[in-house]
Amino acid sequence: MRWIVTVLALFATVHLSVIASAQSLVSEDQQPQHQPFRIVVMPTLRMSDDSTTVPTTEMAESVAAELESWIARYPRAELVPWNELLASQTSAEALTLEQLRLGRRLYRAGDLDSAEEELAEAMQTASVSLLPWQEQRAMIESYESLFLLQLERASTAAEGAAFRQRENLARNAMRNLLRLDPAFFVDPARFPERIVELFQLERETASDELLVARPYRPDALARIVDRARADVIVETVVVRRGSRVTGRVLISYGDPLAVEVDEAIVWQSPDNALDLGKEMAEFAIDSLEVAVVCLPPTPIPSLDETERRPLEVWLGAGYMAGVYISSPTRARFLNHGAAFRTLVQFHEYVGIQASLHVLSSAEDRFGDLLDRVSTVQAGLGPSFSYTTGRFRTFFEPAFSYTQVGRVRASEEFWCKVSNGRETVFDGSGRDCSENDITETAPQAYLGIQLDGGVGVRLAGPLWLMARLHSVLFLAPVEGRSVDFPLGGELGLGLQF
Amino acid sequence: MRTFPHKRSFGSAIAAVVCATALLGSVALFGSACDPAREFSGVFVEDVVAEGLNPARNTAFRMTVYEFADSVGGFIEYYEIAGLNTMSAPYTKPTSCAYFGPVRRSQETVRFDAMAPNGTDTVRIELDSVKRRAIGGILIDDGGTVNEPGADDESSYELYFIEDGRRTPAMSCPDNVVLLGAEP
Repeated sequence: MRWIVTVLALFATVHLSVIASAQSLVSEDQQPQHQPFRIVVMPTLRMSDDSTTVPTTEMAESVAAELESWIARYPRAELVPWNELLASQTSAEALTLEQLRLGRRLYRAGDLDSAEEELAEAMQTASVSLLPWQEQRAMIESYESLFLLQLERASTAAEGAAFRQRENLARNAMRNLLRLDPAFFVDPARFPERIVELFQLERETASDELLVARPYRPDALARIVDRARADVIVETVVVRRGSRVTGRVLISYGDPLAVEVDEAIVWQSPDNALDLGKEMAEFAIDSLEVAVVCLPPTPIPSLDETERRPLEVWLGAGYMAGVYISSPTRARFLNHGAAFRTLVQFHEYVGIQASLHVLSSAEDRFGDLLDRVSTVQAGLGPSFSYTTGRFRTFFEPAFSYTQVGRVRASEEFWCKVSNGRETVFDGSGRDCSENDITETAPQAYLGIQLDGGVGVRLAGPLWLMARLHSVLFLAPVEGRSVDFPLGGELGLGLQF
Repeated sequence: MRTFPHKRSFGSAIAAVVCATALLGSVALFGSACDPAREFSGVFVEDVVAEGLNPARNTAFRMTVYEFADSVGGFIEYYEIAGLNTMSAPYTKPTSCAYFGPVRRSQETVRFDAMAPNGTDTVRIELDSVKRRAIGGILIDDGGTVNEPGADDESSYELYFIEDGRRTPAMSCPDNVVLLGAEP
């Protein structure tokens, strides 16, 4: 007997565990897929017009560190780890890397034609990949080889178009080389003075460019965004020109990163250059905070079917304004007041609702109404609704009972002046007589109320509701003092 | 622009569209309902503080104006400068009163005539119905001849009115004054 109980207990435990696990999986699956805001902080580009005064790596690192610290604290942001991003290498990148090695070997062997062909092709592919960061040393060596190769060919080329073409290719390689290795310089002992001067000029041009142009190629950035599934890219640049150190921050998002959110340029003297990093980081953080705030708010989870109670009760109250047509004058008049309603929802889509409107009107367009018209309206009927997430749409037809107070109106000018009091002003026709006033006694109407609208869940059980309201009066058939009510309501609802 | 990776259901999009449509509908509805009711009443007095009453004058005017939709009417009270009514404080005891209108306002200004204090001539006033102030001068039709404001004639005055916002417009001319233009 005991072992039977033990087996049953064991079975029940396992069974309950499986159910609990399944439920936890289901509930996790049903959680809203709120993904954090993915940010890539690109390595800071550093450059100087002099190879001996390149901005320190500490400065660049302080920008990254400040940003990373902020991102780590911000719950809706997630830093894409740069190292993880670089860890995986595609087969195309591996092939390109091999081609670069081949090009360098060919250059060292003196086969300049083949080396140029291999290097140029491989560098073109590599520049839009992650290789410049994954294989930085190989890329520097490759650019250096290509640069020297072009210089050698330029030195042997005749003056003219061929020389200028070689020179441009050399400059291009030099610029890419400087971006990866800002301390690179051309040894005056190895190259003629003209080449050294050309290089110096190119270094200055390249550092100028970094202050105005896009630091990284958009197609390369698009590749990173795609691979990292990133939302925002932060690019930072530090350039030193003489005694001035300039920092530049670009925050961009969108695809293909064509949209620039914000940019800041700050400069400091070298004495407090380290503060520059903090200032750049502060700017970047301010911009990111704005960008994050502009994101849609965290979706409020929809009510799970299993959480739905058999009966849900809603209470609501709101302000209503609308128009009626006054039968005596056929003029529209504006009324406004309060609306109260209750809803009992017994099905996901269906419920029963009751409403009460208390409205009052004193004005019409022509001033024909002599007294305030009060209206009380009650409705009872079904409610059809559809709720998804934080939004709700509904349609509520109802049986309606309306009580309209006395309506007094006149088109006679002097009756309007006297507020409907019978008055003789000067005996020359300026008077208000009984015949000038149209008056209808208080009336009760029966009709069909048609309401529809939308709701937005503000927080917890609190909803903001907006609805259009109308009633089709059916009785009395004739002699109605008002007709065609049409109104709008804005109110709050509480869901219990 | 790249879409941020937040899940948005089709239902949410539909709800947002319905919400926007309802909002626009409500705005249009209230816009039509709030078509301004052209209803106004006010009291205008001569600007004696700024301009001082013309020494040639012997009567000060006070108008009560009503406007409903496009119709303007009201009455003018006349205060003869004598006894309690002085040049500096003329509006103490009305002497006579005349109704005018209603006349239809076809443009921004409306012109109307009322019986003059002498009971035979006509007072013509031009009211800026949009800015709610009297702008025109006042003409005294002397025996059928209309004199323009500023003309070199004793019967022609150019007057300026300001709205007296402190006074609640009366419904009719005061009792115990001579009602001009009234049938016997």
